[in-house]
Amino acid sequence: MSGAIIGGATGALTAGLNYALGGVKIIGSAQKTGNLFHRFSSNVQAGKFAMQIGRYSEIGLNSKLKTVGLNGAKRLDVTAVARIGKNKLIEVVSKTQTVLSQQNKINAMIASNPGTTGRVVSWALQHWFYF
Amino acid sequence: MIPSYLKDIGKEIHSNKESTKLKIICTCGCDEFKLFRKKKSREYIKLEKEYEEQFIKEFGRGFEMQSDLNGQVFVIKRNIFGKIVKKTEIKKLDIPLFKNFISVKCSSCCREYILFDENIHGYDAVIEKNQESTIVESKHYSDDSQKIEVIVYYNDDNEEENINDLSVAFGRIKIIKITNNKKITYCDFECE
Ligand SMILES: [Zn+2]
Repeated sequence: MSGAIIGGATGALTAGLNYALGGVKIIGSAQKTGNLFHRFSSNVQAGKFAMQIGRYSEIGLNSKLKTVGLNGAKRLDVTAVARIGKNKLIEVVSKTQTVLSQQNKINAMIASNPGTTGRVVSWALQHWFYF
Repeated sequence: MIPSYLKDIGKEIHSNKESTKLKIICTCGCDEFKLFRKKKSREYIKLEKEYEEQFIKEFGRGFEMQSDLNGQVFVIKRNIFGKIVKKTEIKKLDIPLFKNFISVKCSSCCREYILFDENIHGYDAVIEKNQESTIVESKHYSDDSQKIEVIVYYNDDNEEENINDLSVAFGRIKIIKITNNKKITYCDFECE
């Protein structure tokens, strides 16, 4: 499964950048949620990773934890596989989501991956989660 | 793909690799339904709000969670120098998570069908191998009747997961009600 980032200016931007950056592979496409902002946010974040030249070898959209070498089949909105150092995993959580449901989602992912950290941070109107 | 639990009542309108659109028709032939959607109880909303307020007071809206080498999960709080100043073990969520549940009742014969039970339907429920259906004590169906369409969306890499029934492992489900030829999204759930 491979493809370009779909959606909006970021899609066009990163699709063009792929060649310029030398081998950042974009896998999958943003989760087809009913929330356009969710999809847009995923694409923006993926675009940000893609622009860090040489840092990541692969950026996955809506891909499974195991795709980046972690345990589990749960899906993350954006994953960036680092050439050196830590991978970045991002889950866009909606503003209407409760603390409880955010906690539950992170809980399940980090419990099956001992020794990891998950964080919910504010980014504009959304929250990001990464570890 | 038609979700197996909708086989008897879902007539395929449109289908491709990514999604399937169904019209819901009762086994009696009628296509008008009353809808039911499980709502959070007043007590639950109160509990959830209290928990949320307490949690935000202690840890803030942005928070960090860590698992140790045994997979035990903690919520942690750091000071401005990055030093951990608070660490609370999360054993089990204090309040059960609310799960969405939608059902319909035929306007002619009153047969009832479940359109979506978040406990057992959708990608996350399927890979978590959830077996327990949502228990709903009493269902209050809408007074008015409408035609119903359901759209399910799939990812194309589910095959790798050894899922018994791929048709139920959709990533999103959208339920549309049609009244006076007007289509309104009744609900739209992410399941992954
Ligand atoms: Zn009927």
